[in-house]
Amino acid sequence: MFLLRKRPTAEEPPAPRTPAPAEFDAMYRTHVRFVWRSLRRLGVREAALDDATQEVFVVVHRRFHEFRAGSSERAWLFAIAQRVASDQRRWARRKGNLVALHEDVPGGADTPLDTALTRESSDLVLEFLAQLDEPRRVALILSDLEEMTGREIQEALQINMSTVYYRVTSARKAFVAFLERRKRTADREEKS
Amino acid sequence: MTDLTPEAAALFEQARTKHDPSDAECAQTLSALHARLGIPEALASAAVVEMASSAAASAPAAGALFLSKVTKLVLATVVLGSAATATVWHGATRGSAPPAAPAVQAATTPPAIVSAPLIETPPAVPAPREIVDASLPRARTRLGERSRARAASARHDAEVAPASPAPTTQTAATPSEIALIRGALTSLRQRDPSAALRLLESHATYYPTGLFAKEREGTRVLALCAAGRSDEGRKAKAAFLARSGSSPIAARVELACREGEAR
Repeated sequence: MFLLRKRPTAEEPPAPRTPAPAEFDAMYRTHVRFVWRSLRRLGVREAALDDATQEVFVVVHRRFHEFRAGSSERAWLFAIAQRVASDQRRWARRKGNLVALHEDVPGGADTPLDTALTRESSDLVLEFLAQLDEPRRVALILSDLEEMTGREIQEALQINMSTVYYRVTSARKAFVAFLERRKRTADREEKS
Repeated sequence: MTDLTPEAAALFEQARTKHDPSDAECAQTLSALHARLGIPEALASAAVVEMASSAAASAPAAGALFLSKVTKLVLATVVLGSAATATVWHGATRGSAPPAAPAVQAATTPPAIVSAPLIETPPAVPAPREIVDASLPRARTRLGERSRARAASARHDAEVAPASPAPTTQTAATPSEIALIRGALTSLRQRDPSAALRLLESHATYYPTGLFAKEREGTRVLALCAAGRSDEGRKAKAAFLARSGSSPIAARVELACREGEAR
């Protein structure tokens, strides 16, 4: 009888549990902006951001028990956001309606000029991120837009520090070159 | 050297909060999440109250319209009788002693998360700055000090007033450029083409070959025509269309100063 009784051991994984509402809401409030803007930068369309953000937090709710205390919440959330964004992109491609990052049209009574201007002024960074390869894109988002530490980036991307360094510096170079190209094009148009 | 140019650093700086949701969007999404996850309505309304009230406290004028829907919804819920629960729960999430009702939940709640602040804060990673500084070449601007203020004032950059003086740091150039163009557009919408033209002239002086030079010329055509300076407007329009006829704003420019035009 005694032998049959199950004894908890240190190796045993904790039973999955869902977070308490307060716990979940606190997590949401702390990180919702980070999740939202990360999704945007990872290529989720403006109109789909609320759904995608919900999706991330539904996964958070379901897998709350997998979060390791002491590790970075943002690294964990970003990894989830990456998967959600990637699913969305796949879905959009299947549907044949993939919209480039900068093609969202803001609502309201803006004239086409306003739209063009808003797009020009606000989405240079998104435009660049959209054309960058995924490994460098995520490294740049985390380091230069989120100002994450090298250790957090390592944790989020599961890569070593020299790779983090290489991707970030290479992405920065690419951004500077992108702006240069854009200027040259504008100058050419000006002259012709 | 792999550091960013001041212009590139300025664009990143500007982009850091540019893609944030509004407070109203945060509240709406949380509300939808509660419905999806089956979190009780009383708790849900408390959380929405908190987000919406913080939104009301910090929302700029431009966000007020967008917010009003949510606020109405929330007020309705509060009036219907969940105000007491809302207040109690509000206290609980801030880390004070949990009330009797959610005692079971509170017992399983790690204090670190329960007492989490209401705005985004850097995670508890030891000596973050030092790690970054040692491992990554930083952008030339000192960005770290500003992150806290930035989190609290999300989206403020979109509301830059045209007349506001540019910060004196080297990264000021691009935001200022954008502010001038945006200010000109706003003036145009408010039927003040002279003000628009003045801002566009400033843009031409400070940023003759800026990133938005094309947009400046297009807007100038619209402003000249709106000011009744049709001859100049038509001349500027012809020049603009000849140079940038394929740009996305050409269609709008083409419609300006049409009256009296030879067909």
